[in-house]
Order: sequence, then C-alpha cells, then structure tokens
Amino acid sequence: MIIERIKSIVLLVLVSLSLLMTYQLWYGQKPTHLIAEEIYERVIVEKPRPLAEVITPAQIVVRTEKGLYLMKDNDPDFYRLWAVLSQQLQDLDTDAIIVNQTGEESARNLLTVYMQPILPAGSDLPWLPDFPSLMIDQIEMLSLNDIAWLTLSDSSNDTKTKLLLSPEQSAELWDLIAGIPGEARIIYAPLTPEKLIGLADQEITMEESIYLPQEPVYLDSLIIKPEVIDRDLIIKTFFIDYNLARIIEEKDGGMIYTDGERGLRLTNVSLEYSHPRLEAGQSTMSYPEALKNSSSLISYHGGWPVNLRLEKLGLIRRGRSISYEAKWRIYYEGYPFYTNKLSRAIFNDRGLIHYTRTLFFSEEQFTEIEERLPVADWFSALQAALEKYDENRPARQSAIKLEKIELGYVIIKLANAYRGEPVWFIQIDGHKYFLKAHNLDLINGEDML
Amino acid sequence: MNLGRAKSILIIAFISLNIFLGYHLFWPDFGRLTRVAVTAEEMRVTEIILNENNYTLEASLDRAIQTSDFLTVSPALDLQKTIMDRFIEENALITVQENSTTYSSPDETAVFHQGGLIQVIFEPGVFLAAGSVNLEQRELRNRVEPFLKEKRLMPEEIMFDFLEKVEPEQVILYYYQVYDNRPVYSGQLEVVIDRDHIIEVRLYWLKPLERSPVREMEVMSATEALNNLIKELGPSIEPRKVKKINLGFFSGEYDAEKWEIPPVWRVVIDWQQFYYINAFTGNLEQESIIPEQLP
Repeated sequence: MIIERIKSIVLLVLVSLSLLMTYQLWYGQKPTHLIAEEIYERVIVEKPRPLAEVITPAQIVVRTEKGLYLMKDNDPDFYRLWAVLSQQLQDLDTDAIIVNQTGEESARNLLTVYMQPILPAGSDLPWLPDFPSLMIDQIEMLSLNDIAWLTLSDSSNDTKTKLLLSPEQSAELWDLIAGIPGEARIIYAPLTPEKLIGLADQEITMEESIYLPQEPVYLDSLIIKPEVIDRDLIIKTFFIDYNLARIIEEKDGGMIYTDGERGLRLTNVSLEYSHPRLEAGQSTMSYPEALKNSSSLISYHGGWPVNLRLEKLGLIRRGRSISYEAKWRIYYEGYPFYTNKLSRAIFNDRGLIHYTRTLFFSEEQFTEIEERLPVADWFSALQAALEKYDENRPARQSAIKLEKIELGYVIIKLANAYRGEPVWFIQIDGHKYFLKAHNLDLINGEDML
Repeated sequence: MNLGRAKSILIIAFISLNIFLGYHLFWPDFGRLTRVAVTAEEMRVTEIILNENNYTLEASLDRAIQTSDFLTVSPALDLQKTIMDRFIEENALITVQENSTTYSSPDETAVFHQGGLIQVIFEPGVFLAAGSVNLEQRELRNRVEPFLKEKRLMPEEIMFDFLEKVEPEQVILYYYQVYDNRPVYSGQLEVVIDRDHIIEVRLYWLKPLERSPVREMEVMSATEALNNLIKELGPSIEPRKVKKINLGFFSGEYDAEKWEIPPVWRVVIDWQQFYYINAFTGNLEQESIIPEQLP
C-alpha cells in the first residue's frame, strides 16, 4: 500500500516535470548565448588630458633687447613660458583686476600670446575660476616701472581685462624671458604693409599679425616613419564587439573594418573612422565641454603624441545638423606639418561622426639626414607665390589678401618611405602654395600625404 | 493488468520522457538542433508589429536556431577572363575607358565595369521562341539557361530567384550565387527578355575564398530581423506583403582585393523590394549594386 502511494507521488512529480519542460521547450527557453552575461573585453586606453593641458597657444611672441622671438609648439622655450603663464592664469583672482595704469601707453610689451583655439576662462574652468566667463584670444604681458600686468583680450565681447601680476609672478616671467638662449634663436619682425610695397601691382592687405624671420633659417629634410600603434586596440576602441566587424582588404594595402553602420579604415599612415548615421544630430554641449570631449577622443583612439596640437575647435552646420569640428596639427621644433590627412574629429551629442588621425610621427623618429641648408628668404618666397597666384588671379581685383606666410614641413611620399620637406606655406585669397623652402619649387598638393 | 503495474510502466515512460526533455533543454549543443529561435510569443508580437505598420506576413519563417560566420570573397576575375576570352576568340573590338572596358563584336557588346559588373548587350537580340515573354517560367528557363551556358555567362553554383514582368513585352529572370548551400545575394545574374529575344545579361559575381569557422556565431532570429526592418522603414501607406525571408550572405560592392561578407536575412516585399538585414547586428545593409552601376 505504501509502495503504491510512493509510486503515485513519483508519477505525479514526473508528469508535472514533463509538463514544465515541455512548456519550456515549446515557448522557447532563451538560448544560452543570449542569457549569458554579455562580457565585453576591457580595453585600456590613454587617460584623457585634463582641460588645462588640452590647449596651447598658436604662437608666442617674446620681445627681448636682442629682438623679437617667435615660438610655436614643440619648442622647449614655448612649453616653459606657456606652463608658467597658464599656471598664473589658474592662480589669479579678481583682486588682481586693475582698470588703468598711469602712463600705460609707454609700458613695455614683453610678450604676446596668440590663442587659437580660444582659451575659455571663468567659473568651473581651470583658468581664472573666480571670474565671469571670458573667451581669451590674446594675452599680453606689459611692464611699467616695477609693475607688470597681463592684458587679456576677448574679441567676442570686444573687452580687455587687465590683471596685475604679483612681484613673484612678474619675476618668474622675467626670469624665463631672460633665460631664453638668444644665440640659438632667430630674430623675427612683424610684417608691415610698407614691406609689401612693390611686390604686386595691387595693394596687399593682411588680416592677422604675421611675423617673419630676419636672419637665415636652417632647416633639414626629415625622415618620417609610420607610428607604431596597437592596431587591435584601435579597432576595439571603435567597435564594442569586434567579432561583428567584417574586414575589407583594399588594393593599396589599407584595411577597412565595418559592421554595416560604422567604418574604420587603417593604413600605414592614418586611420579614418566614420559613423554617418549620427550626423543628423545637434550639439548642445558648451565650448569647454567640447574641448574636453575632443581631448578624450584623441586619448581613446590612438593616444596623444607629444607634438600634436589642437589647432581649431568650432561648430559646423550641415543642413539642420550642428556638430563640433576639432583639428589637430603636428609640430616639429616649432614648425607645423602640412598634410592632406590632418587629424580631425567631428562629433555631436549623439557621438563621434567622423575621425581621422595621422599615424606617422613620434619625436624620436625624426632623423636629420642632410647638412643644414639655409632656406630662401621670405621676400623671395612671397614673390614666387605671387607669381603663381597671378596665373589664376581674377581679372579685376582691388586688393590681394595675404592670409598666411610661414615656414613648415610637408610630408612627401617617396617610393618606400616618407620625407618631411621644409616649405614656405603661403596663403593668398584662399589659394594655398607650398614652396620648397630651399629652391622655391611649387609642391603639388597631390604629392603630399 | 493491475494498477500497480500500470503505474510502474508509466513511471518508466515518464522518466524516459523527462530524460529526453531535459537533454534538449540543458545540453546546449544537442539542444540547439531542436530548440527554437522564434517562440510562438515572438512570432505573435512580430505579426502585430507588421500589421500595425500595414504589412502582412505571408512568408514561412525558419524557427530553428541558426549560426553563421563571415564569408571571405574576392572579385571573380576568372569568370571575367572566361567571358573576355570568348570575345577575343571572336575578334572583338576592345575599347578601354576610364571606368570600364568594352568588347564589341557584330551582335553583342560586353562592358566590364571597374567595380566588377559585367553587362552583355545583344543587338538586335538573340531569338528564343515566338512569344517568349508569355512562356511558363520553367519553359522560359529551359530555353535561356542553355544559351547562357553556351555563351559562358552562367557560372556554377547558381540558383534561380524569380521572374519579374517589367513591361507588357519584357521580363527579367533573376538568379543569385550559392556557396555551401547558402545564398550569396551579392552575386547576381539578370537576363532581360524583350518579346522573343534576349537583349541583355547583367552579371556581378564573386569568388568565395573561405569561411571563418572560428567566428561562427548564433544569428538573430528572423522575427528580430523583421522587427528591425519595420523600425527602419516605418509604417507603409499601401498594404504590403512580406513574401519571403531567408538567410544568406550579402554586402555592398567594394573595389578591393578581398573582403568579408556577413550573413543577412533577405526580406522580400511584394517581390519588388529586397531588404538585407545583417543577421549579426540587425543593421540594414545596402541595396543591390546592379541598378546604381548601370550607365
């Protein structure tokens, strides 16, 4: 009797169990793959730079008794001066504000710092945190008798803010300027309209301050090598699940990774990423937020090379969409690299839309290969550029606008290598001319990397 | 038979049944063979979504769990060469242009486009039979396919797709490429028949190189793919019918050395629209390349 009762219970349990399992099978138990916890590979990337390290000046002009020095990125004196000045701007409070100085017009201008992109200052920012919002595009250090002050220009509001430096701060900057090794630096002078008279049959105008060397400049050709990067890591920073990306092997050796929505193209010298679907979006982030964002993008996707400088940050509009565009440029010992593959990011509130990053630089990879030769002087370079410009110039033009003239390098592709060629870069009315610095031969844009 | 004996037999039977069910439920590799990717509930939800957006599901769905990997392909240069050789044998005139090369013989012209598309135009056309456009599909194919083989325009591993009547006097036969018994929708053959004549053949073919078993993964279900597609397309103004949904391979065209193509769910709507949903990501892949490539 007891056995029969046990049998009944066992049978009941078995029937119930079979019903339960049949239900599970019929109505579908989630596949193991889907119920398993999604484990994404941990990707360790470079830490984003703090905001105070994201911006550097476009150029610093230092006025010494010997003459005027021009400094740009990847120059030790430039870094030292900017580090001190940036720190002082972080330390200064509203007590330092001064209105006018008696005899100010006779004050000595020691240095001018040109900010591009604009330096944001004010509350919640590293610079002048006690101040109302300021967008600084120029900083000047002036000195009169025993005192020195900074004049900060905000052209968006057409205002100038004067901040008195403490004796210690003033001395620190004075010492730095005095410590610049004059024998190793070239004397520069501002380009004035008088110096341009006779160069063309029309008036030549300038919109921005241009400084040009007054002494012979010696520049070398440079050997450029591809930057060694962890390609797998780069891919993982763009694709959360790398397994879903398919690979396209291009005829020129480039590799494309895409999941149908996003694409990443990797070559020896650059990476290009695009996610066009995000383009139809808006940018509600503030300028400082966009600055932080741009820094994070470089850190996540390839890291910051030592000589990469943020060159531009601004809003771009396409139809109804608004995005931020950031551009970076490489510098070598104060000279910019001109390339068709500029590091660039376009992003909005929805995310990263487009990103390119050059992969061919690293300070220790530059090797000087030739005896140093003096470059052609700026006057000859400008003459040569104006001759080229004359060939395409509109017939009746009232004035010629000289937008840029500076020394730098272009990257030229050789048979199996790349070379950094010293050039005079001259921009006239939007036309860009790259002239070999030694013989002023025009470099075709298609030959540039 | 007494009740006790009956209980014993039933206990043994249910133990066996439970072992069988448990095996299917908890043994992943074996269970996958019979486990369903589309449950009755998911099917119902998808049908509701379709109906709400003015679509009707008329296709049968494969409810089993399926896996796939990527298929690596390259341009089918050997096929191109075979066709070119035939034209050379016939002393065709060769004209090289920026993005294409044309081989012209008295009755036919082949244009080899840079992206891989081959377009063969017959002038005045190749006679098939009187009233060809009105022939039964099988009968028409029986006349067309031997001709294509003779002209070396019919590759191996090909599958007939469908017939489309584009004008009262014109029909197009569509074929797609097959590899490992799975459609490769990127590889396409189109035969245009005007009245009694074949007037044009368009061929875009790929050379399958390898599959990557190490990257084999479970694909999303057909219902998920349909849901994604409707989300992408939005509501339809006119009533539309989902005629077919199949798993295959598809990607846009690349002017590359070789490339991987992903598994896709091809959704056929009214035999007029073809959508390719990436079976791994659920993204809508590009449309067929042939229409855009034509001059």
